[in-house]
Formats: sequence, C-alpha cells, structure tokens
Amino acid sequence: MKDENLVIEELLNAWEETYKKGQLTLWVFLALREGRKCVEEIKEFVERVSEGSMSCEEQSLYRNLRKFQHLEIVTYESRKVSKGPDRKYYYLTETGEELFKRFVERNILIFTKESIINLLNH
Amino acid sequence: MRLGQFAVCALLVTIMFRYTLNLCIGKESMLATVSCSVVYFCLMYYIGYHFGEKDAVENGYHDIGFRFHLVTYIVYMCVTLGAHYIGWHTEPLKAMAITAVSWGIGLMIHFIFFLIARKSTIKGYVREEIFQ
Repeated sequence: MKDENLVIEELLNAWEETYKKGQLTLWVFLALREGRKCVEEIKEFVERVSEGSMSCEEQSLYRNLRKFQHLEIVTYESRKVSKGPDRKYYYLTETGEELFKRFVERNILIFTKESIINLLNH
Repeated sequence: MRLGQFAVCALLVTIMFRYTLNLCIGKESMLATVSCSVVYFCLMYYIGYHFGEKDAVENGYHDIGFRFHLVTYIVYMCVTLGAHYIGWHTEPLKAMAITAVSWGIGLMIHFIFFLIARKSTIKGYVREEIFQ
C-alpha cells in the first residue's frame, strides 16, 4: 500500500508538471481580467487565487509579458511610484480579451457542464 | 535591446578591425592582414552568438539570426566605406564592391531561410513556445 501510494504520488507529480506548463497564461490572463496589475501583483494573484498550486518567478512573468506585448495581446500603462522608476501596469488588449474569451469557451466552459461536474465529483 | 547592444559592439569591433587592417595593409603584410580578418570573423561570430542567444532566451523571438547578420553587414559596409573616404589604407573600391555583392548574396540566402522559418511562427514567435 505504501509503495502504491508512492507510485501514485510520483505519477501525480509528473502529470501536474505537464498540466501546469501551459497553465500560467490562463492565470496571468485571469489576474489581468481582475484589473491592471504590475508584475509583483500578478505573481501575488496567481499564488493566492490558485491556492498555492501555481507559482511563478517574476523573471518568467516579465519574459512572458514582453512576448505577449509584442504579440499585442497585452499592453501596459506606466504609473509613477514614490521611489524608483515608473512601474508598468499590464492589461489585456482587445485582442487579448477576445483570445481569452474564445479559449475559455473552447477549453474551460466544458468543465462547467453538469455531466462533467458529476464525473468530477463521482 | 540585445540587437541594439550587439550593434554597438559590432560598430566598436569593426572600427578596431578596420584600423588594425589599415596598419596591416600599410605594412603590406599578407599574414597580418589575413590573421586580422580571421580574428575579426571569430570575434563577430562570438558576439553575435552571445547576444543572439540572450535575445532568444529573453524574447523567444525566432529569426534564425537574420537580424544580427543584417546589422553586421550594414555596420561593416558603413565602417569600411567610411574608412575609405577618410583616407585609411583600405582595399580598392572594386574589392569592396565584390565583398558587398558576394556577402549580399549570402545575406539574401539567409533572408530566404528566415522567410521560410517565419512561416511556422506567429509574429516571429515559435507557435509551440508562445504559451509555454
């Protein structure tokens, strides 16, 4: 039984690693849908709302946001802060909003179907 | 950003190269001239690789090194022509034209590969890597 639990735990970790790889974008988009945020706030949102199941490095967020910015999915406004340089507050562009909407329709809303919820709770 | 840093480095290295080459040509030393050119090639390749790799990691932009190659070509040609017109010892204009055309053909071939590679990207980003 102990060995079986160990195997399940290992399989679970392996599945989660793969599953989470593509999840960061969804969490970042959720954070930006809540309101304009700087990188520190996005990181805090992702970790808080995912209840610690997702974590991300600020460097990785910067890299992704820069990429999304070039792809015109995300943009930012600069806000003055009391100390240091202006801070970038990111938000979704119209393209980003539309992308998010379509992604959710195709991939997320399916999980809100009663038949699927029943299977998840089974 | 990395491309800009590369351009500045390329400019400095090319000016140093042209100046050294100027001395080598002035002394009519074939060995020194060839060695200088080889060192310049290796140095530029290393600098391009260094900044190109950083650019790829930070931005994920996929251009198979074409922008860096283009910048090198432009910087080299500008510095070479500049060196010629300010009176440094340079190769004759005809030799410069041969370099410009032959390198230009290489650049065009690189451009064609760049266009082919671009087809599998979205605005320069590899599809599979955008949302990773």
